[in-house]
Amino acid sequence: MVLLKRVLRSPVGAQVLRRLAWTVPTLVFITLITFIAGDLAPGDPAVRKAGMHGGQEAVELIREKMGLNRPLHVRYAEFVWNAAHFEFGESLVTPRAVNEIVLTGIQHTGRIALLAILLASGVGILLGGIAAIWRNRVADRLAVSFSTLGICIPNFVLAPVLVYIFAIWLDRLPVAWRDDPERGPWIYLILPVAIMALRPAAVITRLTRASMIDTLSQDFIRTAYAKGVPFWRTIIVHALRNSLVPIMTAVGTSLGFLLTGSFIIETAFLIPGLGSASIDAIRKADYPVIQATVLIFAVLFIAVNLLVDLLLPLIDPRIKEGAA
Amino acid sequence: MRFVVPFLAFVLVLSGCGKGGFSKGAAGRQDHFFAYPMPNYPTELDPATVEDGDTIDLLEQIYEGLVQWTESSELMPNLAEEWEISEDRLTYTFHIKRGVKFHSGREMTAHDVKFSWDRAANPGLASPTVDGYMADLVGFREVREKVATEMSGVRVLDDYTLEVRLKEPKVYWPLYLRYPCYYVVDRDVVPADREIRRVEEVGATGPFMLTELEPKYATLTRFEDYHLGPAKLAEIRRPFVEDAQTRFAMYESGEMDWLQLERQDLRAVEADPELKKDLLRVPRPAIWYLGFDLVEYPPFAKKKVRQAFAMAVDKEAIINELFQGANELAGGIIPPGVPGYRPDFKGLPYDPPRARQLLAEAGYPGGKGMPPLELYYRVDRDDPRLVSERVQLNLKENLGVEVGLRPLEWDYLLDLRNKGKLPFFHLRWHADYLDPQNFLSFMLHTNARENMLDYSNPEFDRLCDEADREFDQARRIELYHQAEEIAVLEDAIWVPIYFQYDLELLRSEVTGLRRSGLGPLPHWTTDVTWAKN
Repeated sequence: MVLLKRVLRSPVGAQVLRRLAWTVPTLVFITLITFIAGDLAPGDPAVRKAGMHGGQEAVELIREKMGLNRPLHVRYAEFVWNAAHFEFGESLVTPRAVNEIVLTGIQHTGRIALLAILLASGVGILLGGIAAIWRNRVADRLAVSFSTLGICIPNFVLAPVLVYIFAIWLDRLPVAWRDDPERGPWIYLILPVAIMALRPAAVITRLTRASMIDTLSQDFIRTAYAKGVPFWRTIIVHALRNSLVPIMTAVGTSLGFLLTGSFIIETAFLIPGLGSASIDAIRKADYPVIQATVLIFAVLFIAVNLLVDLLLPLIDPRIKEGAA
Repeated sequence: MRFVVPFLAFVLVLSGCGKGGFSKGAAGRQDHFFAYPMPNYPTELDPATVEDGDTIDLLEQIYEGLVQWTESSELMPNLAEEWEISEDRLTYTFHIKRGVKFHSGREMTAHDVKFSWDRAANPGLASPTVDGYMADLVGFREVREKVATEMSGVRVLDDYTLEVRLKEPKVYWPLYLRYPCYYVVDRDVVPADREIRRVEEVGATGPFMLTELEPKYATLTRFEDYHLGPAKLAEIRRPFVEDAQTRFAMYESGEMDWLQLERQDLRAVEADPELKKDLLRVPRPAIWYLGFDLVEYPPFAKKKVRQAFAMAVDKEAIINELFQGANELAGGIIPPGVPGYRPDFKGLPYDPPRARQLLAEAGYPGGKGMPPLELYYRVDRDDPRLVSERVQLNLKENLGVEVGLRPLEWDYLLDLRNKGKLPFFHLRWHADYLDPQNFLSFMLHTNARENMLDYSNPEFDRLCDEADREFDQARRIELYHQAEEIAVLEDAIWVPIYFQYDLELLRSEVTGLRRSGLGPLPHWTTDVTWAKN
């Protein structure tokens, strides 16, 4: 109780609790919508499973085995109860437990998203910084062009082009993901991570450039130069640190999108992530997998946004004061 | 300069990866390792419940049954060494081969065969295939209706003898034994009352063992104690690749040895002399046809309307213009590879004036007075769409009949089909076993489970019944031919459009890949050897 009171009294703690409390109705809403949509959509996994050979009798037996003959609210209540225990049952389409699909999925999607956001942040902050320092010079123009291209080229165009160049023409990289104990995962991750990183890198470049230009024109930078602080120290310690809030926000939202937006790349590179698992499930009306992946995507997105909101006051104490 | 350095570093890193690992040619690939993609994760690991062809191809390396096909599509003994048929054709006595080992090392006996069949019939497994394949066994209904737990018609006489009783004599019944629901599983390993869901629950006698099942691939490893001697391949790798473009890229880059080619990739293959050498055209025992439902769309109850439709479809143009000759024009119903196939049977001719006349005689001159009609086909494939669009055009131009197009998701379409709710459709029928019965009596007999068209012709039924019971093969085929002529020429209940040919790429390093008319046989003799260079 004492702890709870202390948490509630601290402004950050109260905010976190409020946000966490809101996730519950959000998740209920999201899962309910997917449940109802799934029920209304044409497509019946029992009929699919019965195939050309199974008649009505077989379809009924399969529906019974899958539990699809029970009313919607019973199935939903059961789903909520099991999901609360991280238990999602068995896939309707393949001989697998949903937990197994989802856990493998989180590992792969998480690894690619984290690598991509690291790469994107590095490239984006570097290019954005260079562009801001040498504003309107060749480096700036190049960085801006890169960023425009990065935002414009969609993944599904970039993926086949890069696969053609690096995997087929130059023959340096593999076409698709494979568990390879000899070479390890890294070589298989180069293309997907690079492609996933392009768009966030472009966004971060833009934001870093704008934010740095803004900071560099402030009085305290001139003061720093005037009192003889070395150039790079001024840039990194004074300018970059003070430009970091919008950049961090962009990194956070990008991470959210990377975690929940890897459908195309995972499908193209055969990566058994959450994205390809959910696409596959949607195509085959595999309801338990659809439910589980939607729920996890929602949780991931909410969690990343919450994390960013918590990190920002650490970077810039003024935000905490504002919240209080 | 600032950008050149990291770029060069990147290129150097890539060079360090070494060319060859993913490359065309032999350097990175080992001998006796065979890789070919599967378009989906397997739908089942259980032969009792498996229904789709891709998964069956995977499971057939692992599980097997009492009989096998030869390369000339005849039945030959496998786990059963021989069998006797009683005078009344109702009782089969199988002599089980001695010394056959399960992957666990235990010897397989007649008890395992009985266990496997009873298990497949168990309603708890909800197998979609047994209602069709096992219904002839005495005692099957009782198990299905939960009155009994084992089929009284399947008896173990001793460890190596199994007696099977049928409800009525059927010449083609032994062919059913090659269907997966009759395959033999290890009763010590597989779950008795639910389907196999884990690698550890797979227990069988086939030439390969399932050793790995990962989200994106399966690995099969040679079973050294296989009853015909170990296979030549050490390992088969099956990546699950949904995207056809990626599958093609994996073949091009040398990661795959065998590929089902999509027709849209044909041009790219023919333009590449290296790839073109690997191209194969393989007939499938399958027919694509137009079907009419006599109740759902009442005008189809008139024979002349169906004949008019049949004579208004320009099949020649479909084959030549849409498929560039890749498929074969279907005159009749029985496809190549199935006994009784007649390459010279032409069916009803393409004759628009005669078709118009027939339609007018039926009371719909110029298509006037016909209620609205839609043509159903599956949405996820190109070929049915192309053909359906052409049929729509033909019927409009030649008969003045407006037909709407109704592409549907596969499961939705299947559901409507099973309920007999498709008035006019374009679908495929693929052989389950190589016998004309599977295309005629099985599909169009008045009492056939698959006859959802409300089609009934006593003469057709009589010919089929007689043929199904006839043991003289030549006479049988003759009877089926007569039935086929009634269905196609006189009643025009189906309009056969084309027999399917598949395009494949197979690397020249692959040897010994055997096929029957039904498709590839287990990879027991298949091998891959890369020239050392």
